[in-house]
Amino acid sequence: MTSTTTSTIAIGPVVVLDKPSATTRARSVLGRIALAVTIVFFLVLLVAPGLLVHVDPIATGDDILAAPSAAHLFGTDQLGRDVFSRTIHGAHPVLLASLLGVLLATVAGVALGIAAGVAPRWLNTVLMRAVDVLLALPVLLIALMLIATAGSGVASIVLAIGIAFTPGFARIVEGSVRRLRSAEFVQAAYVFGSTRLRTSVRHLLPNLVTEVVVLGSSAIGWAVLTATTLSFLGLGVLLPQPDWGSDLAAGATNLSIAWWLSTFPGLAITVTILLANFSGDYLMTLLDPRSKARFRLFTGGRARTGRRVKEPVDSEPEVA
Amino acid sequence: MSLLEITGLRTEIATPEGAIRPVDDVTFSVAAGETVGLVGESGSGKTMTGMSIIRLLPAGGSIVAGSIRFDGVELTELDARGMRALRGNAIAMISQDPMTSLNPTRTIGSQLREAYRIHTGATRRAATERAVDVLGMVGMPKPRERLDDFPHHLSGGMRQRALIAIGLLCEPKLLIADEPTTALDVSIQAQILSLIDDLRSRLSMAVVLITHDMGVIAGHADRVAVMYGGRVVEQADTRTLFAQPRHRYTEALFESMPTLDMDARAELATIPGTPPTLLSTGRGAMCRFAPRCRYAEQDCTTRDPQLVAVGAQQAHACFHPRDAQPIRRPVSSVQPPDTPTIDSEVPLLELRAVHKQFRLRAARLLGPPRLVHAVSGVSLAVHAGETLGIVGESGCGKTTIGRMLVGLERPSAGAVAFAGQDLTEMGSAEFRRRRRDLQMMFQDSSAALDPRMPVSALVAEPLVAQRVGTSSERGAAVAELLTAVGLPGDSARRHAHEFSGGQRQRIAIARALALRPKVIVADEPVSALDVSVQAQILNLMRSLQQQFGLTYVVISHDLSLLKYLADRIGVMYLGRLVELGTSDQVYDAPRHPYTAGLIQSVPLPDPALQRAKSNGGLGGELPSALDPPSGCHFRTRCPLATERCAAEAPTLLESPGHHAVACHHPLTGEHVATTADVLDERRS
Repeated sequence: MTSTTTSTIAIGPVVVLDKPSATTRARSVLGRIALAVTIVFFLVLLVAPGLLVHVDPIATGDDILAAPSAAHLFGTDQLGRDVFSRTIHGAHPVLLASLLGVLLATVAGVALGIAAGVAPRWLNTVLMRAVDVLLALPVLLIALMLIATAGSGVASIVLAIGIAFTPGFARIVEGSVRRLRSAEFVQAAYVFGSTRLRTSVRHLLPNLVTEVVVLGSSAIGWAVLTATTLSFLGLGVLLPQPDWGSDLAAGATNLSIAWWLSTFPGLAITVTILLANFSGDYLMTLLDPRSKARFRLFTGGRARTGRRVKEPVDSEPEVA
Repeated sequence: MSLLEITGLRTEIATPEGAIRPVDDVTFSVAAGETVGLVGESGSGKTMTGMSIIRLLPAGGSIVAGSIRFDGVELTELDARGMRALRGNAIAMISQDPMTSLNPTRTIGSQLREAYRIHTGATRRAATERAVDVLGMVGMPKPRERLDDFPHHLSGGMRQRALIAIGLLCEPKLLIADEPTTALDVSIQAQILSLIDDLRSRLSMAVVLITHDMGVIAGHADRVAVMYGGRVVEQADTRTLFAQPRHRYTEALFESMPTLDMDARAELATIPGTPPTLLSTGRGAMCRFAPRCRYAEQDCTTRDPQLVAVGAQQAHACFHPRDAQPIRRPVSSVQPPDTPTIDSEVPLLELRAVHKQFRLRAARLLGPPRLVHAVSGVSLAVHAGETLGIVGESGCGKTTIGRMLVGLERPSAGAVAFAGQDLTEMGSAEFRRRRRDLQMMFQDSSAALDPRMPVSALVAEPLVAQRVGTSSERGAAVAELLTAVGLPGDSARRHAHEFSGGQRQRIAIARALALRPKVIVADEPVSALDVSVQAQILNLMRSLQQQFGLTYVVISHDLSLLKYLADRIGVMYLGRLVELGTSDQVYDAPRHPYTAGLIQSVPLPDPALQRAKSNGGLGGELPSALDPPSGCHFRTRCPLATERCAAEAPTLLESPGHHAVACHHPLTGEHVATTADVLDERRS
């Protein structure tokens, strides 16, 4: 029934009231806050974790396995290291690895997807079957092979995430490109003599942006999870450097006597993934040309956040 | 005592943007055994009225006021359970698109059984028997075998029959048919509508027929309620309404319709502006039609007109109604354009025996690929300055012809020539330059305009792609084009989705004109638009033809439209051109039985004429293009077919004194002249 109902409401042009209702406004405010918080938070954690915490995450202390207190917000671990400081500093390798990895996967996946999408049928088959093979390999296996050959560290994790996430992007982008290729506006572009390359850049890419951004933001969530899993298994950052995954693993053995050891890195992982997903949702509405609240992020026009698009009815020309 | 009585019905839908009111104070009644037509443009609230009766409103929708009495029961007071017991039982609904209304993963039989057993609790065996009965009743061939078919096995017309069958299982007292034939071809439409008529009299049910098509109403409704902006603005029995509409909106609606009998040289009357959106209604007391009404005065914008009864059969809500007199088409003051002198020696654009086949995946693994013969051997010449119409049912290859004309498809065999040059032999760079002369208007303007570009970029795009002019020259060209198609000056900065359907089609026209083409191929240019807006676009296309010296190829399924717009018409059937002549020749004296049948099937917005029509419409359905019949493709549906038709494919030939036709037994004009005769009588 849902499909019928939505189609029945959408009669005529999009209906817009002069005053947005409280719920939409609240949702858009929430989305904007999530996006702003995420960007600021990620930046600070990546570039200057020292702003948030002044204790050295590696320095050991006498206060062993102390519960959270004013001195140690998140308590201390077996070696007396400040868990709060380790959690803040531990963000660096995780975020770096997942952001760079997703960036790598996005660029490679989109390029591969568009290439396969506009390619002749045989080339498309070759490329997409290769993608299928890649998709069948577990991330852990790819990571293990890379670490075995290139050694452990952030670079290996970036590469592993990049390779593991590329086929996902390629698959979805390829599907969209094939759909867009038969879209009437792409056909129209061919009718007035637009070349294949020009059409790809002017029509295909911009119409993929929304999808890629949403895909990318949810991939960041997955990438954070993958990166922490790898370091949980000891394949990431080398101890004693702080890292959410390895700290989670280290704390797991003492979970019965010191709950705070694993809980805070775990919470950090959860919050990061949630933030990434919320921001993705908001970005999606922002980038949709039909959405009412949007920046003109890429076209460089005037910003029109939150302003309502006027109904076309009033200005219909009275031509006979 | 009527079967269904609706009084002051008001329905609201809560949306994130606030409540909208698609149905606002609607009153009408339906007696048993009667068909009441609800007619209106999109957004007039006719569908929502139907949905309100069976209370299948979209999320957030609710009936806020009024009463719906059905067979003595107040439906607005019924709980969800009571409503469920009525739906599909005493009240049935059939909707516009049978593909989405049938579950694609289940067989027809199981869907019929389910609907029957829910209400009767019958055994599976009994339900099966009932399903076979009902399928037979709706004219489904071999009903028992159809039970195991899935919806996609059936053609569009057969799916609609299956859907009607589901509605009829429990012998409803009321059938709500929401645009039951809008997605179907005219020949099938005529079949389905006469089926509904027939079933209505056999089962003595009442029918609420919701449609935008006055022709459908004329032939099949006993009474009509014209809706506008959520209101019933006029109510009358069908003859009275068509003879003397009183409300100014109804009048304007009649005037803006292109019909078969109108003078093709006159300009269509238009209703300025666009149909109201659901939201702009319910804003204070005023006549909803006032902003678009020629006769609106001060009181129209300050007071809300109520339905006033005039005579026994008619009521209207208008302060300045028409006098009770038969409707006359306004004679256009615009000087009819001189028929362009057609230089028939050198065709501007020419198809030379083109074939087009599409490959389908093999039916069996490793089997041979199947070929769809979309176009088989069509030769056609388009002369400079003329408008050539191509008409046919869906699947006849008319769109493929259009796409080949602008070079979007390459013919499998044969050639497409522009000004004597073969397009298929050109290099890609040369062909790209040649494209300047050949432009296309697509059916769905919202799909044909890139949603991410502002209008200025959309219209300038052909110029950019062809590297014409500097950026400021292009800007000037865009402004000029937008003025030419009648769009306001500030449209350039807005995006396509901010415009209404008619305005978007204007943008598409502006873009097609940007390169100053010689030929524009228009594929169903107005089929997505409301009647009142359609007339604006048609007039615009005509005036632009004069202004820019254009040649049009208009592809459409709508015969009345082509009769009005085209100088010459080609009729296509299953990939072949079966008849070609001037539009008067084709309409007044069709020579191919298919053309004659098509003309018979067109619903005419005139009750007397529509009902007087002999049942000479087309029977059967279009055969599959995968496996077309031998010889003449039309022989399977042709009343005149002989053995020769199966053996030998006729070629398109002109005979002395007659236009070209591809038929072994062409009509001479005496066989099917019923419609034309009546029209002639009326004209004289």
